[in-house]
Amino acid sequence: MDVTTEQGVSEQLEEGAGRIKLTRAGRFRRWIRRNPPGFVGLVLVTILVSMALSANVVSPYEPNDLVGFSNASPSAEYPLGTDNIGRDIFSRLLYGARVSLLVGVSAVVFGMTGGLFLGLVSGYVGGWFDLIVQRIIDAMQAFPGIILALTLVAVLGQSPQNVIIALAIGYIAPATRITRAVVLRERERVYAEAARALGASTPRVIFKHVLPNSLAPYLVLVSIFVGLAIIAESSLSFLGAGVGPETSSWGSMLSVAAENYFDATFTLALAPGLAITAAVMGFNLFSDSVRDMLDPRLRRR
Amino acid sequence: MGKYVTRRLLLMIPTALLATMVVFGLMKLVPGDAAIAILADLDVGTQEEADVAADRLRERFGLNESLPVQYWKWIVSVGKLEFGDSIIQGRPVRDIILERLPRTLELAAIAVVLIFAYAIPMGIWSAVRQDKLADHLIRVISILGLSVPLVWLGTLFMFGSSRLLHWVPPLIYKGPIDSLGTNLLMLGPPAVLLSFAIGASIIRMTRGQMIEVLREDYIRTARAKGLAQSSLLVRHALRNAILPVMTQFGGILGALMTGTVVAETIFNIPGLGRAMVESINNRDFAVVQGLVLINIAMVLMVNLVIDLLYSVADPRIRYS
Repeated sequence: MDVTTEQGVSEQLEEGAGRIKLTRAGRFRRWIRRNPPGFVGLVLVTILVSMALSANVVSPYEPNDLVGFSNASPSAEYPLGTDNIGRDIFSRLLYGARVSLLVGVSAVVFGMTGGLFLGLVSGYVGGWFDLIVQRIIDAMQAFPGIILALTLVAVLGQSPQNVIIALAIGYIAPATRITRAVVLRERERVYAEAARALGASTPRVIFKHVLPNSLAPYLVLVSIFVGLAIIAESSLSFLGAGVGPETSSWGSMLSVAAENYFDATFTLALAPGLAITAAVMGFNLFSDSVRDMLDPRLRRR
Repeated sequence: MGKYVTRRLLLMIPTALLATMVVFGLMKLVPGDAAIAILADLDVGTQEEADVAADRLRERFGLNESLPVQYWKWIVSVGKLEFGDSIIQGRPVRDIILERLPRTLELAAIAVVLIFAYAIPMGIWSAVRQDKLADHLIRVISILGLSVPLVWLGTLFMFGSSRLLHWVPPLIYKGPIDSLGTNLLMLGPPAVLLSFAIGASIIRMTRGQMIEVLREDYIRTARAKGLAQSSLLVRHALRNAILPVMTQFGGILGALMTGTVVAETIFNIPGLGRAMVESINNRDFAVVQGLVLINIAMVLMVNLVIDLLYSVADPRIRYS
């Protein structure tokens, strides 16, 4: 039987029995056909990762070395030209991918793991603990946007680690909120009740039963937040409270372009911004398509 | 209703207190204290003399007291809207805030008006034409808006307009009463860019809500009654779809404040955002602290107003 004819039919069949097996490649091809935007997202993220991994191999120069005249136009020698003090833009762009990816992913992973645990415990235990956690979360959410991160980096000093810490703290609050809401819903489900009736301890119910069922919406959020964290890192570096001048970042490259708009070479204004946009869009498209797959209400009828 | 308002107001007190504790704690993390910062700029002679002078200053500023006592004294002065003096500008932080707040509010207000003018209609249109060409176009625009950083939009604008059109927005700020033309030329471009960066999420939310509402039974009934499309959309569908979008405005506020910091820096607008960046670069922490407090106060107020309005519009909220 041809499983790929009708979307509805094939889905029913998938749910019905494990008889019909597609090869891994076959499943991947089907996912691409159903989700072209998600595939584009995956490609963009792959490009970002390969830029970051290959930076030290592909870069023609060291990112901080003064290798030529300032504001040189693109040429064979300098593929994207040079910046205001004569550093190679192409090399800085590749190393910038490392910073964006490292800061974006680790800030979100740290912040959201913290929020996941807080939300799980707070939602499951409830009572006074929940009340106190909720007030702390409220207080954290009173700091708008990157203001908290800006202040933290200003106090702690500029460095990639400090930017990660500053941004991670900002993701604890929303992750706690969302996890708690999901747990409140899931713990009333029959399966959680059944586990309790069988004598499972609270931590066991949380981690063995509720957590796996709460993971999907959480992963969608991770992908969105990585995109937001990449924008936040570039904004902090742009404003001079980011990874610091020793580290090449797309945000600080843009700030050089914005300060020298009258004589900087045009690639300095185009390349880093295009890179940020493509990276963030990659994560956004990917999370969109995963969310659509998870949420039957948003599926096409 | 009265009970809900009381509960909502009471819940704000611990939130505000905790938030101010965070600000207080952050300022305590600054390496060195106010005494050392002041003495760094003065010639005080030998190390011993400097230590004595520092101790005397600490005594005067109450820095030798326990942290809870310091916090209490600080929060009382904050309650009286006294945020201390700027080390760099040598004038009260309150004056700096009062001078700059209206400029930031004007910038944000223009951006918000623009968002309402095009983002919500685009979201509705996209939902009505779901999966048609217009919907696809609007979705592409909105996902672009979500992904393009404001720092790039601003940089591109300055670059493009100066290189191609040989024009840049005015670089010296004029108030709207002083010179409305200069004022609008200066605030217009950043406000448009700001609205694009923030409007994208409003478009997406409006679209999502409208799609759900348009599937409801009562919409089908209204359509069966023969109601005109325009009145169906605005009076029946939008009314129900807009409420969840409005609650998200609290989140938008954060993006708006971040946006004004970036836009003011690029376009040289002397508002709160630029004051924040300048005082961070100058390590003028009294100003940083005052500005963070003002930002928090605005967020708490706006969220309160949204919650109260929401409970008026949707009675179910009050009883849950």
